[in-house]
Amino acid sequence: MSQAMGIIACNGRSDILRAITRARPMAAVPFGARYRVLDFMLSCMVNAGIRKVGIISPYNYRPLLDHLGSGKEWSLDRKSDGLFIMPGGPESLRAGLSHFPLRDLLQNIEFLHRGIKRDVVYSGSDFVANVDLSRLLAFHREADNDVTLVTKPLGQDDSVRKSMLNLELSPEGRLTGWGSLKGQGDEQSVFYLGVLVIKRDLLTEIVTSSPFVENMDMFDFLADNMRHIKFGVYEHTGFYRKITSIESYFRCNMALLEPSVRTELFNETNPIFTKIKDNPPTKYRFQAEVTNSLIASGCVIDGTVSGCVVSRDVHIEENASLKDCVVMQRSHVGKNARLENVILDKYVTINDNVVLKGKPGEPVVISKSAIV
Amino acid sequence: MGQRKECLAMLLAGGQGSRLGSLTRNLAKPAVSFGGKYRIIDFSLSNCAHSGIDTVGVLTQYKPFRINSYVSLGTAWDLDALSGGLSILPPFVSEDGGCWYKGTANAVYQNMDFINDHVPEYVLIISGDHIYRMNYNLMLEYHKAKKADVTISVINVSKQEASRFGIVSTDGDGQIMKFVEKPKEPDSTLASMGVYIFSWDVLREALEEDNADPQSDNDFGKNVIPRLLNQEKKLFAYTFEGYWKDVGTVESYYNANMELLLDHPSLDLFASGPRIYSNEDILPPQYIGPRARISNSLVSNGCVILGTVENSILAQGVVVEEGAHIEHSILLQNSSVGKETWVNRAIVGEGAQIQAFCSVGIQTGGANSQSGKGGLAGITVIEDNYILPEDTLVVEGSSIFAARKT
Repeated sequence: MSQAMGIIACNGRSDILRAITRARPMAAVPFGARYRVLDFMLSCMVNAGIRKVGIISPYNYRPLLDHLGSGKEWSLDRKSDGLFIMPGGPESLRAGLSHFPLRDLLQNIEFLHRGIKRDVVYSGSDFVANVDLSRLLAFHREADNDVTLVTKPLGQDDSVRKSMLNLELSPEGRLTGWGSLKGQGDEQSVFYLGVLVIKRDLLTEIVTSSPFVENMDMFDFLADNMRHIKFGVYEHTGFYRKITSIESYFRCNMALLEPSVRTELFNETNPIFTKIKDNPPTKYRFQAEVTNSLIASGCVIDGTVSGCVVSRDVHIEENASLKDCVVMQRSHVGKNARLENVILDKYVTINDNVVLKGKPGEPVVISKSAIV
Repeated sequence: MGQRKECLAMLLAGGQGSRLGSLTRNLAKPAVSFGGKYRIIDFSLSNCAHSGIDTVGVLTQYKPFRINSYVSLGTAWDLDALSGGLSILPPFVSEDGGCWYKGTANAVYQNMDFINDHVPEYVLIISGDHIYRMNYNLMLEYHKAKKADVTISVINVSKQEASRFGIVSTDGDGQIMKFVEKPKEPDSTLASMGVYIFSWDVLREALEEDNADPQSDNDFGKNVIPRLLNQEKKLFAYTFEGYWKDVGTVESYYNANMELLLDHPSLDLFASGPRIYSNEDILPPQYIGPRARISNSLVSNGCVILGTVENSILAQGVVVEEGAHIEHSILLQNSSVGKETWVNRAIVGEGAQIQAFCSVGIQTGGANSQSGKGGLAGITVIEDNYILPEDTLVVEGSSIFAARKT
């Protein structure tokens, strides 16, 4: 039984994906043909043996709760502990900078008070990664840290953004401070990924004893008490993508076409769980020509599909051609349609002969239920 | 005593299905994979769920582990109900001993206490061996309207097929006059589907009488139904119109799967309306590689296809390597096919690995060819978890399985 509980904040900024997040919070954005963004962190927690998870809900929580239900698919429908849905505040004025608004916990302090867990894993829900939290927790306990931050160096890819919180480390790797990146940074610059572990007692103390907690971010508190708190950093070496824009959402989906990314995200030891829909298998008809694509179940494909990520129950009719597209659930692409660099939200209908082309890396987005 | 139920179901899932050969060497027939992501028992359990029957006893006996863990609490079929729900009922012992289930009727007889607990008015007897979509409620309405003691669901079959089934002859009102198991000269083409609704008091009495008869094989079709007819009980035939298949042999199993690939299959898995539920593993979407070719096939979650797949059905987690060529075949859960391997008209068992450069299903034009000698009609079957080493050639119609310690 894990000595940790989890909290996932799902009330972060929600306007980043424009049309796609108009209908839903970032945590509930469909991703990777059959998942929602939240599935990844939630599965990481469950795979690490965490059986008490609090979801701080956004104001537009319907799609999120619809997806989570009782938590059955994640084995969180339990008599003791399990899944807790907690009210969250609206995104704060300083949403762009906030990393861990304490107000959300003040409202839900009961959740922290109850139980006997030693540590709390706190995470955002705007990234895709399969983080081995059991190793993180073992490291945190072994070092007897008060707080352990999950990090990644800037590296050469675009997975870590310069807009993220930059951590200043001493040559021995001790945390000395943080802030936004000064200058260009280099490949060694280390960033906070939006996941941390904190001792429950300390977190409770912070929330109940800080003045102005309503408008405070936990990092403000940590900065003020730097000397009394034992920090650690834990580097996540695997795949990580923060979704910060339509473009990064698109690229992140396309990254799944790389075998190495799939092996990392979807391994048997730490599977990613999601809601089950009881679809039939996907039917490839006689004229189907599908290459280099990730396809969910329940689709009927009679056209040409290459370099695409296609969700459940999508119909692609004969002679339609899709290249480099992300297609969400239950969309329908008519005969002879030509789509390139396009994102189709759920329930979109593309009529016969329609041609839509985005620029490479700058996809056109067709919003939910649209008929084109 | 449980909450009172109007109708509960007893689902017979203990049969081996020995005519399915290697397919049922390690699991009972209801647990055999079908149509890519399903197992045969999914159909009757989904029918219960969609007919609002929330109390189901699943009678198991032959190699039950797979079926027990698959069916589990019935959650996947919404059968984890507040009262009732799904119960797995294996043979058991009591004060006066105990024994294996001796026949279909005996299996239900031994579990009369389970039925009594729910005080039903009607008991639905079904089998986990059949593939069909049916609303049992309509049949129950019919049973009530006819004030029947027993209602048997029947389906119209062809004259040639009729001698494989229990055949009923009815009067103009649907009342059954005659019931003959596997008649040589069938009087009618109405075949029993092995789906019965009994009024509970009639069933209880019939099972007690059947148990008291030392000559009886304790089988519903062979013994119980004929006895009730002799006693002039009111037995009615409910004519079911729709798809129903008993995939008893490798050939009929293969054909029923392949029919799903037709343009308008009689069993349309994509039809609107209630879906067939299954207890699926949560696997990633299927990945289709840069040089893959797939046509007229059904492919499930978790598959990775790098080669060519034509006219085939792939269950979850199947891997087809580059240069491999699969045609007219059924690849069951987590099986894999290596590079440059050719597979034709084969059923590849769960977890089986066909390594690189093999040819499976080579046509010889000889005795074992598609003409059907050897009982497999040219279909090659590879047993669950069998590893076929590199460069192996397998002639069509072969059945490949591991030798057993005896």
